[in-house]
Amino acid sequence: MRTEDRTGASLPAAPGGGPARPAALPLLPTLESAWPALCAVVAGLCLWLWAGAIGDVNPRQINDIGLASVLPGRVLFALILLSVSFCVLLHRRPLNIPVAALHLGILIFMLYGMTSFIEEVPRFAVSWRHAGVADYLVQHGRVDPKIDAYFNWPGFFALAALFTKLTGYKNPISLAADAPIYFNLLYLGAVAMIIRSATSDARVVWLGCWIFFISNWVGQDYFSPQALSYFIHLVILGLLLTWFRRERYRSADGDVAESALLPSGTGWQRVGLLAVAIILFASIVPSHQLTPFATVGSVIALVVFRRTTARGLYVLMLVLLVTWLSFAAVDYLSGHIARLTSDVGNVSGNTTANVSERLTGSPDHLFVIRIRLVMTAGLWGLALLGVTRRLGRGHRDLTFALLAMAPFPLLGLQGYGGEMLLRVYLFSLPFVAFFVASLFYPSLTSRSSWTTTGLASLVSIALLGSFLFARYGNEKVNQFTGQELQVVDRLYKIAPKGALLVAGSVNVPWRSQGYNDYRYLTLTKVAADEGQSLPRLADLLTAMRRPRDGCAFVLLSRSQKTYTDLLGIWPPGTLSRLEQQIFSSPLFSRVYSSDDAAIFRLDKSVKGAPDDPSKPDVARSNSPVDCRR
Amino acid sequence: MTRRSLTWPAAILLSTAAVSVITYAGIWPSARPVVAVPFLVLCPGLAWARLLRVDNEVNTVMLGVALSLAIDTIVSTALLYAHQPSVQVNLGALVAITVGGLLADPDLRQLQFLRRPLPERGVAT
Repeated sequence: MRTEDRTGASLPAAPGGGPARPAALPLLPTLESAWPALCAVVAGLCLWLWAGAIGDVNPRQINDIGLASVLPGRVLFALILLSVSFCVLLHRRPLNIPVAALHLGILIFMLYGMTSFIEEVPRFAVSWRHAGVADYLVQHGRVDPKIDAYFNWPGFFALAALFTKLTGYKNPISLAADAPIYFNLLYLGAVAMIIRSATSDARVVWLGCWIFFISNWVGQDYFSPQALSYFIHLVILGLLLTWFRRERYRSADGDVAESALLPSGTGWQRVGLLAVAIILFASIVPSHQLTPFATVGSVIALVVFRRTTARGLYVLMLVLLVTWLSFAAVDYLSGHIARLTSDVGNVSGNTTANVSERLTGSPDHLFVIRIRLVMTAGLWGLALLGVTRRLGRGHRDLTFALLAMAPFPLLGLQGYGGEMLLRVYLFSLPFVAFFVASLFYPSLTSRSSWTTTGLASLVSIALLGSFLFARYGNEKVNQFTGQELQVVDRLYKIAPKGALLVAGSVNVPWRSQGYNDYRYLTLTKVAADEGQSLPRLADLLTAMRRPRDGCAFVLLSRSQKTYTDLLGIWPPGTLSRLEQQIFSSPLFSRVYSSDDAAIFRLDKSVKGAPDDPSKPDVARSNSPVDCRR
Repeated sequence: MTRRSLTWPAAILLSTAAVSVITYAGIWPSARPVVAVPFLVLCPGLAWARLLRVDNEVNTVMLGVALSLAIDTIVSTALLYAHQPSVQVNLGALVAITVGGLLADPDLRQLQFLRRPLPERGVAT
């Protein structure tokens, strides 16, 4: 039995059989009808405020707490106003979907596009490396699995190479700057599809999406295989939850899963949808090491607990996965199998590597890490409250609870370089976000009271505030300057192919060209190989002299020093002191420098000659240095 | 199954034709990103996702985008392993997949070969 509320929305009957209460307190009729339009105008105003202020940010003033340290008040005000406008929009039923979508679109643009407007060049050293792998495929047109792990899972890079060739860009890095905006827009559709499979309450669907985007601080949406594979993973789960869900329930208060509203598909439609799921999975198997395991784990959880009718799908998925590992990735696995399997079952060790070992760095950085931990725990706590409220209203969301927990066994497989907990958080986030949204609107008949709107606004603002610290807390490290990039470009022009290139740490925007044309080394690895806690000039010299012929260069830059200082890898100033020693040493000539970076060449012919303070920058031209001198 | 709007097939066909002309004829290099990105992100998957006749347009587009990116990935990876990295071969394979999806659409088949509208049928989704 359904009733109409004052706004014309169709409401289900209340559990007691009587008509449901009106959704909102009555407002002035004219104001009420203009409500969505007003919210849309406010959202537009927020974007205008944000766009006017974001250009004033000076990225060089970012300190150890990250981007939040330099954001103007107008940007923060715009974000808060947008949050309030969105929560107020949810208050009125029926929800105006286009205006809600507009809010989400603007939020994604503002939150994830920030750095594109502030920073001079694409951020994240790994993005540059990924661009280099794709560039290698563009230049050579073949996969060499002996190079490194990327070439054993080249799917994403092959796609990036295809985009590069078809668009005519010079280098795949051109795709990287705005990648987070595009990936998050893709996630919006997939997350909405997932949440709609659990409820027909539009408020929960859109608030769930909102919570997802203001809580996705892990930053795995840059130009990377993880970003694309995550989208495909979400669509596979959305597809299974929408068309292959076992239970088609209607709860006591009349809420039904969106999928339950759909008539059953024809046999051929189901075959087609299954084929789509398999094709989607087949694309992530050669693209990413971890995501296929998360997908299979989630599907197995659904099958074991009888939550899906696609019972045989996981078998096909496992066949695809094992086939790839046995044939295409065998070059990598054969050399690393001991290292990969050593962490299996070591849940405690892997968790330690993911939490306590990351609690290092400058005091401000420790503050950022604590915000991340508190935010994560807080979000999971809110989700738990949401589960409780839903249970109280007669909703047993076992499917979503399972999918929120399904990624956790991954912690028993590997530490994943200390990042597994981040990935677990990411894979469970859509389901956690649904439960957090359910805390405010636990069922279809829940009233949209102003108290609820106020609480939702407060939680939203608190999460947004934490997000700015949690996501952009490492921005001092992650950003690169135009001058750094200029020096890296010069390095590739003057270093002959085959040369040894040494950097202070991994945080360098290099390898986007000549990915396999040079030998790359970092001082962090040199020190670790020598068993030293600090880098020493003697160890550097030994490492650089190891190749008997060819050139050897050292590249030191602002972002490398920030990386080792802020993350507490070495005591602050260590890399700057080493740079001074290199500059003073007669064994090195400075070949190029700018305010933010310098290149030094090791002169192998010199055997401990005295320092020559008048050393000029040697390489003024772009031609490669002759290392036989 | 009712007859559906032909807007999407027309858009897919137009995008496929545009990217083919620009790539094979090598003209308008500055327009390549604007033409190539929508084709890669939408066309190969959407041409086939429409055949599934799922409940609504948003879900169809979502499946279409995911399927497009998956097909692009699988085709480009397979061609790399087959030592066929040329962009022309890559695009040829994707155009063939896209056109295959359009040709498999009963609505379009009716238009092309029988030139009469489809009879009204019940909703099958």
